Amino acid sequence: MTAQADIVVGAIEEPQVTAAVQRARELAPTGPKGEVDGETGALVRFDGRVRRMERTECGGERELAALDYEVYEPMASSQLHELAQRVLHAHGLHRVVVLHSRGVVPVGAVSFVLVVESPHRAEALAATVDFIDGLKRDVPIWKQPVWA
Amino acid sequence: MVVQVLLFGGMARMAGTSRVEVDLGCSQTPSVSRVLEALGEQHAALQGALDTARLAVNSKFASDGDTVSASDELVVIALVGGG
Repeated sequence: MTAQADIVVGAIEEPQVTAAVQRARELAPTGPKGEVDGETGALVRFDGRVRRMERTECGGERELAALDYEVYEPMASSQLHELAQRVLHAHGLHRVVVLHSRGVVPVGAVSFVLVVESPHRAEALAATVDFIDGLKRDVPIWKQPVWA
Repeated sequence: MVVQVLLFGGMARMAGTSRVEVDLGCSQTPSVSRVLEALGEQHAALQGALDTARLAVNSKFASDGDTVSASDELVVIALVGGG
């Protein structure tokens, strides 16, 4: 059972996700290695992307160019890792890998990736919802709109 | 004791600054709840957002009864919104 949490600058690119998952697998040399080892029956991946239209404080919508993520460190990293560990154990998962952006992420790009591996689908899906609820509640990351 | 409190996100926008001073009077061991109370009293722009706010002391969420010192790093954390 391993949890890996990283804050990355700007939009999250696919090689960063692949590398983080690989690091998590190497951290558990005696545990399940992934979907090809026969132990992991479910792999759920959630990508959070920057949406073009953002709700305004007045109740309308306005077009974004990007979101600028403000991160309070080192607390954000430690809270992300603590949350990943809590969800890992609470749901009996094999692995949790999370990446979150800081700084400017343009519309359409990925700012958050969560990968959850577990023996069965039910716990992977429940853990995904649980993790995102915890992220919104307990991890000091704020998004500032950059209007188009 | 006077402490510095760091602000982020909407709290910083409401206050127009990312750092405010809070005067906690003569107490040498003020509680977390006293810091939040004094913050609202001395910075009226933040009052409305403090109902749901928590204080982080040296990068960890603190409980109401915990005490703070002048050298602690204090951050008031209201709604966050990552993801």
